[in-house]
Amino acid sequence: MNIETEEQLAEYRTVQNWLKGVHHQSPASTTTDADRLSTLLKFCHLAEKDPDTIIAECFRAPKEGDEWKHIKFKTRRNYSALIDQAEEQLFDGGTAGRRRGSIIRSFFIHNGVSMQAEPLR
Amino acid sequence: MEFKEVVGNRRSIRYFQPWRPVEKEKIHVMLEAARRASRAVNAPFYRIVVMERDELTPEQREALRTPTTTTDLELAPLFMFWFIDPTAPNRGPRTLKQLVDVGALNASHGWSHAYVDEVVFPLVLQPLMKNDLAAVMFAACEAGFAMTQAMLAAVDEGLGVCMHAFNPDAVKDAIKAPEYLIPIWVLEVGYPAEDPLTGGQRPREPLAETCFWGSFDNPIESDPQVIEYLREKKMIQAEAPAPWRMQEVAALSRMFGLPE
Repeated sequence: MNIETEEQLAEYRTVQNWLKGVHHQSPASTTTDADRLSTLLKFCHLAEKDPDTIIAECFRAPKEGDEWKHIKFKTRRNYSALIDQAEEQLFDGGTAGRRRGSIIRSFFIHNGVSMQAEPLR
Repeated sequence: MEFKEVVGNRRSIRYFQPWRPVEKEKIHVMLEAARRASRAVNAPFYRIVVMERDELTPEQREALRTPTTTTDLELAPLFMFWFIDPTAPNRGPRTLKQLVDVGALNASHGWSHAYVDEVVFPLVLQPLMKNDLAAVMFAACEAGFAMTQAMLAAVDEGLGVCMHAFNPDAVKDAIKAPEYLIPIWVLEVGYPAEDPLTGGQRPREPLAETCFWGSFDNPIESDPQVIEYLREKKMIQAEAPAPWRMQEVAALSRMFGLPE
């Protein structure tokens, strides 16, 4: 993984998908793209993988005759746990940590990987 | 609330107030409404198991999820698990005769105890139950009438509802459903955290795409006068999204710590 800056991160296809999706679906979001990119960059460093690789790992390699993508549930669970870890270790936990964790989940969701968290209640 | 307004106000609610329980009386209103739905053979084609969210462990709730049943399972304070009973027509000989005896099914239309015993049960209901697919489709349709009445009763009581798929294995031990029942939906119930009208009615295809007069060659177009009448009665309301809806969704996501 050789990404140093947010500008480099923004070159990745999955990051472009994400920003396009979130702008379309959440136009009233108060989160800025700068926030999104800096949060995802830290997560990529924690995972030691680039964003396209992270998303690709969540899907099974296509087999002949496949009509759709198949999610790899175990991989998704592992990334879900890594997001929980990032909330605590990288982003100070609590509400602030959750906010950053939700930014990372948004990256997965807009790339077709449904990544849920228990709501705060 | 007037009936047409209840129909107009129903939405699938996906943000509930997780901290606010549903009163027992309102649960009973829903169950009684379901019980009074139209039903073939006058037989009960459904069973409902009511359960508060926190009666299930977080692990059980996690296991309930399907690819499309997500965060709302954690937000809704009450679940109604619906099952269908494809064997309900077995009750036909008794339940149909009840209808004969109270003057609902009459000789003027060919009904009698003998007709039930000698024709309807052996020639209609028993063969139906031997065809698994037909029996299940029949039962699911009948249960759907009851679900609709339960949902509309909930809306009339100020509650929000959303019907979802669920993984029945997750609650098998807790619910102890008999083998002959088939799980179909979980109805989530609670007080909406979002605007109960969710910023407008959801998109629907034109009437002419689904309704026809006489044959499929002849679609029925909406009648502007009827549309206006139903607007006055609030069955037809402003279409989603309201200008503020996306701000509401963003605020709810922040409040519950959910992704955007």
